[in-house]
Amino acid sequence: MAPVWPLQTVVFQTIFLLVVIAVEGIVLQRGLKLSRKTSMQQAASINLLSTIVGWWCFFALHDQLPAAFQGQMISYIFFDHFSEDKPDNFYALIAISVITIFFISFIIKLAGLRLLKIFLELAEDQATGSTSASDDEKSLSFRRSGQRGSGGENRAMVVLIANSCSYSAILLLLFLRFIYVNPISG
Amino acid sequence: MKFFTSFFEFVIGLAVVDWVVKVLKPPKAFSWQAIMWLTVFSYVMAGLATGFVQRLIASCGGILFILFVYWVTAAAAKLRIAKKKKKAKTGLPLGPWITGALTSIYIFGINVNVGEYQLGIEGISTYLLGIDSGDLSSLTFISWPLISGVIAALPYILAVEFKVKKPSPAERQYLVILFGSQLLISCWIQFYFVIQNWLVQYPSLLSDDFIHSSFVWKLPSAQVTVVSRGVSILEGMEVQLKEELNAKSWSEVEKSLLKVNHQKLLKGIEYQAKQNSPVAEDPLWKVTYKFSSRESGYDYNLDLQANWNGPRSSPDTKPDYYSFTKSCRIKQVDGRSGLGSQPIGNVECQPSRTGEIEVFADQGKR
Repeated sequence: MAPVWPLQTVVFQTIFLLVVIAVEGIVLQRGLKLSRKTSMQQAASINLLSTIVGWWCFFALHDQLPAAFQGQMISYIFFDHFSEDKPDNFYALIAISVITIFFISFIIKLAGLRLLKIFLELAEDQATGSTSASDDEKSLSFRRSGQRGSGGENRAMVVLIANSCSYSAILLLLFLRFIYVNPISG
Repeated sequence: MKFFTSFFEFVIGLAVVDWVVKVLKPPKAFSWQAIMWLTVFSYVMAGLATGFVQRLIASCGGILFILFVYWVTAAAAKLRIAKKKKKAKTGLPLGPWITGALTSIYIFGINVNVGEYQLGIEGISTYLLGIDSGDLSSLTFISWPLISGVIAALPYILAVEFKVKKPSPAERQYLVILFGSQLLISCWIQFYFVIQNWLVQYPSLLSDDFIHSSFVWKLPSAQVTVVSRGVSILEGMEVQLKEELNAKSWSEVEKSLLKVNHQKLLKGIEYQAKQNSPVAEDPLWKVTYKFSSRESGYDYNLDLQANWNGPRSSPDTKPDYYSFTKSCRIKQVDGRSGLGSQPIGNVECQPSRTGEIEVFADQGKR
């Protein structure tokens, strides 16, 4: 048996997924007026989907990267810090890719929610369902809030908020871990 | 007294045989006992046959065995985790994962070393597609959760008499989360294999410690027994150096050791040494050297040093296992050739040492 195991990967990803599902489930529950169980199940489904797509991107890209980036990635995975001789604009590239990942994961979650609806043959969200049921109400709410358009837009907004909340929660956890690992002294 | 004990043993033996027969005797044609006997029968028949027929019967026996295990594990209420009630069939059944393991081994084969013991089973895809089973060993583990997920989904998809049925929306939601979690587990297993591949390509990482890592964990029992790549590069350079300079006339040797030439010579030697079973980390081993001629002018000292320039746990310190040195001496000896005695080159090297050494201090000693 090989002496190196990705134990922390499994533990941290499980914890993060549970946190993310809880946060996004609450946002979906409030935003789309779903039941608690449904929203948690849907949050779990779309987050599993985006995590798996993320892993597949990693597996497809990890040996295609230039040697310098591969070295940085290995250094980060094995030693928890980037090694010295970084490529030019390394942190700028990291920042850009994090922002890209945020929006790609938003699109994946939105599409995943739509696919899930189709697969489960559910009616549209109760929120949108109720508005489309009575046109008066829909036009009323449309006039009232101005920006609130169709149900699809509403759902996109809710998913975007859910994604932002979950990313913030994970960033907070990572920040707390950073403080824990590198205590601020003095 | 002896009679009684043997009589007692006889009764016990009779009871055991009776129980075994009762348990293993098929109650009806369509039962797990019947499948078990079919499995035994096909393996016995496979033992009698040879060649293609043997493989065919053994493959059928494998399928029957998987069916048998599926039947037994699906029927056993004990094999469930997170049960709410003691008897009821609630919670997550473990049976599909046992059957799934057998199925993925059946398809892709398995090849693992546990200590001294080696377990190797060739999968059906090795027979059918002719792929070397060594390449498929990781596929066995990666596909395990997926195949298990499919097996766990079977009761929701198949109705009685093997008709496909449509699961209810609630069941479909359960299946989505089931497959999602199984795909995630298979991604983790694939990540394990990516790490193993990295450790093959970057073997020097293994001598460092991973205590700060938030991704991987090294078993405390892990012992690095392999020779460091830095050492093997230096040893390879010694071999190349000897091949290049030994038994050459001294004037040629001196010519190639001139200041304008020796850089090219050593770069070539380094390149040749790294060509021997190359790995991805080779460019990260930087070889530096120091040439010096002794005062007499008839021999030269060459100090080679391989330094690890790759990722390491603490960039500030330089542990011994990331720096290796080798000292060589190139001198003139008398060689016997057709034209009588002629001075030729001779290279003598010491074994590689760990750690950095002061190159100049070393020269003073010799």
